[in-house]
Amino acid sequence: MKPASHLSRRSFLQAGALGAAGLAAGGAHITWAQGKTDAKRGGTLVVRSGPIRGIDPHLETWNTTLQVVHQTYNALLKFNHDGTKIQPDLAESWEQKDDLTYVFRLKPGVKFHNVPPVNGRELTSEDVKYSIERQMTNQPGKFQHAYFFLDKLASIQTPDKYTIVFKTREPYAPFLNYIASPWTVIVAREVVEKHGDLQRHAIGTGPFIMQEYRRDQEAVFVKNPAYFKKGLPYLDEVRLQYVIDPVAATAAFRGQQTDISYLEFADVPSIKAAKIHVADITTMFPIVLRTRPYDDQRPNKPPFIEKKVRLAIQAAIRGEEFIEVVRSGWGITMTGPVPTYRKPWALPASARPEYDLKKAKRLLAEAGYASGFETELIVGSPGDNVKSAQVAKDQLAKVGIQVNLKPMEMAQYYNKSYSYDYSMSVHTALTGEEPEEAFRPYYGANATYYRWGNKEIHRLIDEQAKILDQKKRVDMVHQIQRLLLDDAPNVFLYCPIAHYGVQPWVKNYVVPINAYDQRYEEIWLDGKKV
Amino acid sequence: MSRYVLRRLMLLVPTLLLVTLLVFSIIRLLPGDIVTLMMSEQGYASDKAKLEQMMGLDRPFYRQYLTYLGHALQGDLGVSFWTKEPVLDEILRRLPVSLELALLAMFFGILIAVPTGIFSAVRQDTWLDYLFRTGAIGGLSIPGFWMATVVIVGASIWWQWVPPMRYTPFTRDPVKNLSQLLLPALILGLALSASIMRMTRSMVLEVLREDYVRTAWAKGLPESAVIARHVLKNAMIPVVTIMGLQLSALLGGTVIMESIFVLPGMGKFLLDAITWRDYPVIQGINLFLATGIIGLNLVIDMVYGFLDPRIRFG
Amino acid sequence: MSLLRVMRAKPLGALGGLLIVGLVATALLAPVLAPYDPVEVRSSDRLRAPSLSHPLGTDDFGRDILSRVIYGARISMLLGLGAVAISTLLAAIVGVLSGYYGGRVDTVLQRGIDTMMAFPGFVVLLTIMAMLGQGLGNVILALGIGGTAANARIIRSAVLAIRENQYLEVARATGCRDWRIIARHVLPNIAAPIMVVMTLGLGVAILAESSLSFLGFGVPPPTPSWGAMLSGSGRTYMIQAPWIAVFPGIAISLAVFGFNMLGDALRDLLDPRLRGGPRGRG
Repeated sequence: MKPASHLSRRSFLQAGALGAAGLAAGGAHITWAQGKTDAKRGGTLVVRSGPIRGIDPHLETWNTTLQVVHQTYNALLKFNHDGTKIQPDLAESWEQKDDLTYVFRLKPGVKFHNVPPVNGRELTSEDVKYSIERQMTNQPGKFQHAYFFLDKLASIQTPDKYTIVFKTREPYAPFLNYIASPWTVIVAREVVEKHGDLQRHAIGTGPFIMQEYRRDQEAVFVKNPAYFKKGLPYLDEVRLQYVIDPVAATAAFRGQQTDISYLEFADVPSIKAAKIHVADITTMFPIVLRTRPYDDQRPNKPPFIEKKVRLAIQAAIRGEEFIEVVRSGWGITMTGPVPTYRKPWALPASARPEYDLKKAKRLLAEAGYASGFETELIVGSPGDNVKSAQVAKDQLAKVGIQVNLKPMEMAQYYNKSYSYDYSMSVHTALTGEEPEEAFRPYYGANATYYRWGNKEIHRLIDEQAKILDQKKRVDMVHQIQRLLLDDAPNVFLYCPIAHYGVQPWVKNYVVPINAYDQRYEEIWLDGKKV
Repeated sequence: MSRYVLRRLMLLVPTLLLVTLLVFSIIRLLPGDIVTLMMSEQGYASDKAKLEQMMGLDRPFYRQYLTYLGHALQGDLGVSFWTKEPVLDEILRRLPVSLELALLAMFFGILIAVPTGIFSAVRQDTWLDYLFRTGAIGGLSIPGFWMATVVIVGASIWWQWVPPMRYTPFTRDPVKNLSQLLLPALILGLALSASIMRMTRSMVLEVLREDYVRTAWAKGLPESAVIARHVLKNAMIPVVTIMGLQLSALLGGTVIMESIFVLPGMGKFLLDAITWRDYPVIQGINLFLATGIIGLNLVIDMVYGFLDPRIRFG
Repeated sequence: MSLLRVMRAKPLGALGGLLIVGLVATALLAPVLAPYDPVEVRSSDRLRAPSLSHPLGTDDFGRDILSRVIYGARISMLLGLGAVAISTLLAAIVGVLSGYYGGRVDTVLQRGIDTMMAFPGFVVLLTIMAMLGQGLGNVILALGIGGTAANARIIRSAVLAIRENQYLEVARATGCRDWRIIARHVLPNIAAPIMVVMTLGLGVAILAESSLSFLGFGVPPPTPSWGAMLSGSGRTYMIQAPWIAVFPGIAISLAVFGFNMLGDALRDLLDPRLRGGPRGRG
């Protein structure tokens, strides 16, 4: 029941061990299974969805966007379900020719959906070039994944219709991970030119064609008859159903109205008791207690400008209590920005800051705040983070820090968050298969999600990406994390464990560790009541 | 009668203008304006001016307002900032859902309230009266979302059944449509019935004391006839009025039921628009609702006049 | 009429009154009655079923439900009284001015009221909460403003009803100042409908707060409001720990019930037309 100690289950998760050097020849001419023979065809898969802002993969960051995107687009490469292997998607083969050069070969005959404006034309290397270039458009903050390749690529060449050659400016360790990222899908130029952006249209090469899209209700997709993976998909239709209320959503799952659904942890015991499979997934979205961001334009302010104050906060916080109270034990503690299951990139357990109230009080006194201080904490509401905020408030009160909670609607919260204008906040951070996703967009020189002006950390973050030797890179990533723990801009509270229910008639589906991966092309249904 | 109608229609205009002006101004006062919001996870400053220009937010307030008004009179309520779909279309797509829910709720409300109200009045201060009044208030005292939660969770656990979470229009599949809407309508109706019941009860009590009713009694008419012939018609007048009031409250107040039962109605639409500062949608919905409600009140007043010949405004 | 006679004549109202007295007493005596601190997090005591040490159980933060329900009475009373005070004050100003002066003033104010009433109540609430942000004070303000229009209309009708009163004619004829007339003659006579309006409004405010909480706009945590308890952890842990929601739910229902019954009885008592039953059956 309390998986916090069952990290052994996670031991197969050697995710992130994907330094570029490790996967030099990513599998020559791998072909995917030509459809399994015992698969049943037909049926509609109904998956619980959530709020969506827009469905442009290059602009958005929410996983609900990818629920749509992964039905209609493909990428060059993708990760397997536990993030340990890179697999082919559009690319038939790939290889790293030298420290700076990567060559991909596309499978010939891949067609875009037979809908205007692409009308079933063939995918070529030009499309790949276009997509990657679009993804790294330099409009800081708007193109959210630009940091994958912006200023890192020297050139993208397309010597022929099915070949792409990437040259990086310097050795770039994260390269393949970013190519395989769930966000790096290949889009069509005509659609962008016709509509200005892809926020409301999803036309690609994917297994399903979008039939209906109501942002606040549902999205319906039908089978793509000309899908390049012969034999796939098995399903006739995919429907993403947006059920806002979590209690109603779980009831819908129990009532067999959804086939795959995110579930609230409080409902899991009763669903497991009904012998329905529930996957427990340690998420990639750590919860973080942040102090005031700062950079050259926005200098830090007291009391958070004092390192000792930040360290005092860090010493006064006990991560286990958050997991207990907020998630009823469904979570794992953290040792730094990289989640602990991502070995070898995560710091060892010994590096974890100690919980020490005496030390916290002492540090506060040394910094001149012996009687504590008062501050404001913003948090997006509704959600678990409001609960985490309460726990934080309670814990900090024990060392004399009076925290005034200010929950606000999500929209307003993100507004404040991205204007870097707050004293403290409780935030859901993002990480990925690529370890630097956990710190570059937050503490790096051109970070967007947060701002931390520590130049030494900036420098090291820039450096670690250039180290192709995994062992050396791991060392530097550890060093960066230790510096972050020492400078303590944030306290890394915990990584929640999420639950996904899968009805017994859904076959051939393993819930991926990465909540961003929403591919259903290999699922078939057997025994679903219509 | 027609002069009354004309006068009311003329008063409609300034009221509507006030409404639109009020909405127009208030939402621009909401903290976290939309431009910053759209750029929130996209925090660049350089394009802010361009975005503002695109949305017409850089022009002076009165010009924005007049332009909007001009368009509105032609039936163009603008396009949503987020979805770029015409606001009017989106409203019209969602209106039938909310309307159906509201009407069904009214139906249940009346179904429960009128008979119990009449009985309660006729048997005033007896245990039946107390029972009904307690029940009515009981239905009103339990928050709707809680009733809905208990019902949905209970049904899902014991019978593995939930109301369908996908909306089908009544015209396409009445059974499926009703099976989704029945439960929320019933719950809403329950809350409604309390006030309708009390109003019915007091109106019936009042009528029962009227001379002509006493006369009918004295003449020996059976109770049911008395009720049917005299009481009902007159008691209905204020009930109709309160129905009008309730309907307008309903249309906005269906948010919670729409959230829980996954209904694509106006309530949730408005809530989302407020959350995302989608100005044109907020304006459009408010304008639409306000016009509808004012129009509805006018209709009700006319029905009022029709029902009671003593209340004709000439 | 002695109180006991009144109570026997209107048993439901008496019951309501008793409930309200209990509510007020609980609110006032909260620090004395509550066995535990309602906001302190006690993670080792989470989700305990009702027992001797925690008669109503504990919630997911380890907080004692009984204590939270007791302090919740305070919040509910604050909310109710605050909201009703604001809305009654505003409504009274508008209603009295409108009814007393009539003419232009009335027309203008009526337009204003009509405008406010054209907005579905909940929409007004949500918009105001979105503008102001979360907070007990803001909820009170929002509920107060939201309830003004309807009450204004009621008060206006009440003023209209007594405007033709001889008293007023005489007072005006003898050159009495308007405000004195209002204070001396109008207000006392509309006290009855105002009282009814206020009593019912209290119940509405408590319910509205729970709905706002459900949508995420209510009183922010860790303040122990019944609505927040019911719509937050109460719903999440419905199956595992139903006591978290059941007891605040009962509290809300009893409070609303009490206010409504009391309001009804007051209305019946103060409206001379509705006293007594149909007499003279054959």
